Amino acid sequence: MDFNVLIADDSEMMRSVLKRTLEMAKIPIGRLELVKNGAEALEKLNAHNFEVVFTDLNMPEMNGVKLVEEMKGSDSLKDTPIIVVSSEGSKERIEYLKNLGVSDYLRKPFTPESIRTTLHNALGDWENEK
Amino acid sequence: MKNKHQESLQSSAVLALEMLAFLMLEPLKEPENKTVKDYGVRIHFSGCGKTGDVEMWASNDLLLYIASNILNTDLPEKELLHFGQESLKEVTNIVVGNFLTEEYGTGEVFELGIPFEVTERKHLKEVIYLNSIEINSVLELEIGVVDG
Repeated sequence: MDFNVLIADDSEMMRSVLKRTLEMAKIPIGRLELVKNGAEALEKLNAHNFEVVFTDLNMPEMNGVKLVEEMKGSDSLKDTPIIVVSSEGSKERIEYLKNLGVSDYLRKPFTPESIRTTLHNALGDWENEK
Repeated sequence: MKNKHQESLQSSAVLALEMLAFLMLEPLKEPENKTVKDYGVRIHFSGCGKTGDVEMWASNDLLLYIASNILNTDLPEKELLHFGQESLKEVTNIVVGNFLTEEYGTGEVFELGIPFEVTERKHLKEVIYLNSIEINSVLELEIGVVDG
């Protein structure tokens, strides 16, 4: 199975690094969309099906928390797993995001292994599913 | 001998640049020849009853090298340099996030400002120098933390 993946981050560098790390982790990718903020992410999410969303927190126009809230308030998007990618390490903030419905939290800087583990947490063990 | 702030800043920077930009760094006491730093980034943070700033300075050569490593593609030098400059901002943000967790633990909430370009040094209290092994160019990090 190939996964359609949406990456929302205002940093071109982080979009590139995340894309490359997904490739290095050998994640089977179908459609891959890279956007700069939450508003652009919602446009893509309403136009196509995605299996998982990676989002930064601090973005202009619509930040990551607002994107999560919008998705959780939408019947068609509420079940799409969301992985927050951030350099913040505060337990309180991570707990807040999980209470909002975020599937997992990926700390920057990340490795192919940590991305793979995070995706397993969000999507299940697809490699051993028949 | 480095103090704890400097050690944490150094380990955060080495980890971030190695993992994100495949850049190998080694600590330097102080560069023999003060390398001209072409580009500087500053970020402000506050929380846990403290405020502080971190600056990171790099040469254009190093920024071009970082950009090439991340993108793994050929681009005109001007575009590559711009990408390297934006990358330094993002790396500074990540370094500070990891530094704060290492110094103050995961129980504290800090607010990080947006990293921005600076043209003049604030001459912060503590400085560390890291040398990129591949291209022999020095990266400089400065930090100042105050109570209140």
